[in-house]
Amino acid sequence: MKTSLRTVHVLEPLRPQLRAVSSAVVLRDLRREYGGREVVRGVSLEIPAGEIFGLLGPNGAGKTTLLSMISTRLRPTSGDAWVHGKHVTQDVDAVRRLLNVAPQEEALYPSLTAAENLSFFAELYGVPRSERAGRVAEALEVVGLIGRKDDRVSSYSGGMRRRLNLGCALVTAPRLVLLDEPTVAVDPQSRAHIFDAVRELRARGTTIVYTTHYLEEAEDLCDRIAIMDEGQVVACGSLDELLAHSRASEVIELRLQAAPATVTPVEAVEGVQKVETVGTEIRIFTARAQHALPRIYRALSGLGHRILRTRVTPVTLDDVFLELTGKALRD
Amino acid sequence: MLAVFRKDLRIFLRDRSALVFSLLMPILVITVIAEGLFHGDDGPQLLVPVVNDDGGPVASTFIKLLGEHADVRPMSRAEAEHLVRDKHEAAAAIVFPPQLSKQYLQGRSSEILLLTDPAAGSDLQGVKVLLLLMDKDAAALADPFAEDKITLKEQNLTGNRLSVTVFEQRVPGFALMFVLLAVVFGTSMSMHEERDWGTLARLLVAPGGFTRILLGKLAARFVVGVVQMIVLLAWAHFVFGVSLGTSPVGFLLLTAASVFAVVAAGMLVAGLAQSREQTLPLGLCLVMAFSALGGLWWPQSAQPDWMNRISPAFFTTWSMRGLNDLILREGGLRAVLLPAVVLLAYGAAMLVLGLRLFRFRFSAR
Repeated sequence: MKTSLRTVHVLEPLRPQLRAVSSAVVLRDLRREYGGREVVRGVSLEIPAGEIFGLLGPNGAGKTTLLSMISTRLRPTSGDAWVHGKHVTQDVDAVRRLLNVAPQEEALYPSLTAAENLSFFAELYGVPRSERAGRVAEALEVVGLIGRKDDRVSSYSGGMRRRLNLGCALVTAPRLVLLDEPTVAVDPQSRAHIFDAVRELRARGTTIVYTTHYLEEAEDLCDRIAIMDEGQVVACGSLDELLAHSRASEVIELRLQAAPATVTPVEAVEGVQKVETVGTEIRIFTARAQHALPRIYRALSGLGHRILRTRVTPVTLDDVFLELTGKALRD
Repeated sequence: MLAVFRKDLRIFLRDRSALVFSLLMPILVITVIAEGLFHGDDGPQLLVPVVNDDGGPVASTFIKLLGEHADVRPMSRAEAEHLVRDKHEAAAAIVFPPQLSKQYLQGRSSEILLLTDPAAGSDLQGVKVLLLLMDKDAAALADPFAEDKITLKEQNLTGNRLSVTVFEQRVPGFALMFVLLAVVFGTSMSMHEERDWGTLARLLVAPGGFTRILLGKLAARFVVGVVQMIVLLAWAHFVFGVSLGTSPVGFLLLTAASVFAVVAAGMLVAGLAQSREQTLPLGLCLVMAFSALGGLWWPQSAQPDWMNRISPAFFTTWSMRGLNDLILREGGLRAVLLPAVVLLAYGAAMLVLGLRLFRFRFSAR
């Protein structure tokens, strides 16, 4: 059963242009069809400027296709999209000058150095010669590759190439950056660099649309998250909003000194949904562990039990996704 | 080892296009080459126009003996010169002057005039060999050359040189073939490499339009091709004494026009190929066919008629005509204008088609 947790922003039909100008990205009933199959099905979103906006969903959800339409790589079958007020099909060149993309697959020239790659893409986007060297140096600093700038890309590790891939999207100082799964198969050090770079971009006022199927990334990085499945946005909001509206359970695991003879007082605690016991282990399912835990402790103390260990498994986006779509995010 | 063998074979057999290009196209190319090299007894006879201003027994004897070894056609002097100088259908024409027989019978010396196109190379040598043969045949009747009563005078109708070296005849063709190889493969592969490297995704969303980006890539290949052609021919000139003609502007114009057509051919290959792997057999077939039919490997006069009829459809034919007119016939700028215009037109047509095909395959929105 799919439930919409948050009403997707409905654009005012009488003054769509004004709405479009105030946001970095506006999508209205965007659709894309391939060979009779709709891979993006009526997506409507509004992304304010300066936000890190996450697109979370499993492989095949339509995230890359959606990004391709925003970037003008693909023409929507129907619907509209604006980037800083410019329409993606009517003002193609203007849109392309406002944004840049770090594609899912690395897009680098292996026989060129990092600096040469960055310089080429800067020139391609019309960065003036007088500014180019500075932009290149800045991009290299942001992604942490300044010390390897004169080495050929073919000598780089996978993580370093991913960082440079991001750098090539930043060197043009775009107002909107589209990052398609930037940390796939990346080492932890490179991932940290990428996260730092993304946060720095936000600090400078750049809007970032970040697609991922790693929920931890979406939770750690994004101001707001849209969950996509089968071409549709099934939920959209901040992490707290998404979790707050979820009916999924948090699990409290307690280890007692002795096996309980009865758990009725625990079951009676407000907010407790279910209690399972296995020997000295108790698993308590509750809507919000934070509220229920003190009362659970009092109930068990009242029975004379001593608690040796407490572990809480919070509701995650995976739980939210499961609740909305009936499948796990990693399926 | 067996597993790898089977896997690679399976991959190859699944690529139907590569299969076609690897097997069918070489069969076609080999057929063309075989026709050009080995057309057996049906090969064209050497055409020798003769101008019989003599009308006497000496000229008649020569013509009769010549006719046993060549396609001898009596005609007027103007027609003979036109065939040799303008249409390049004959390597040389023989002019038997008035009063030849009378002077010979009176024991006085006279000249037979040989109007030549030295650019015809081996065909001209063939005519001269025929004259020597004829001399031997005529010895039974008389021995005019042995008695030095009749001498042979050569007049170049197409330039200032009486002969060209075999090297000069072959080098332009081979130079053009190497440029074809390098530029066609370089152009077509570089297009597909952008896809393999993932950079095509960036280029497709860069401002300014994809066509502009493609033209930038082609311009780089054009410069490489022009430099290569100049270096090859300059090397031949300074090291082996090959003439580059009398017009540097003409040389540069023809080089630029030829390389433009070659780059466009590379773009066409890029558009036709579905992958980088397919550019190899496709490009190779194009280079082989265009080299064979364009006269890069052998003079077109040695080809069967059907090949000569279709050869103008291949841009390499026009490059070779221009190079021969420039280098072997010392034709100057004017001589290369028509080939240059034709090459530019061919190049433009192939470029437009290649760009459209490539865009359709890889950048359709």
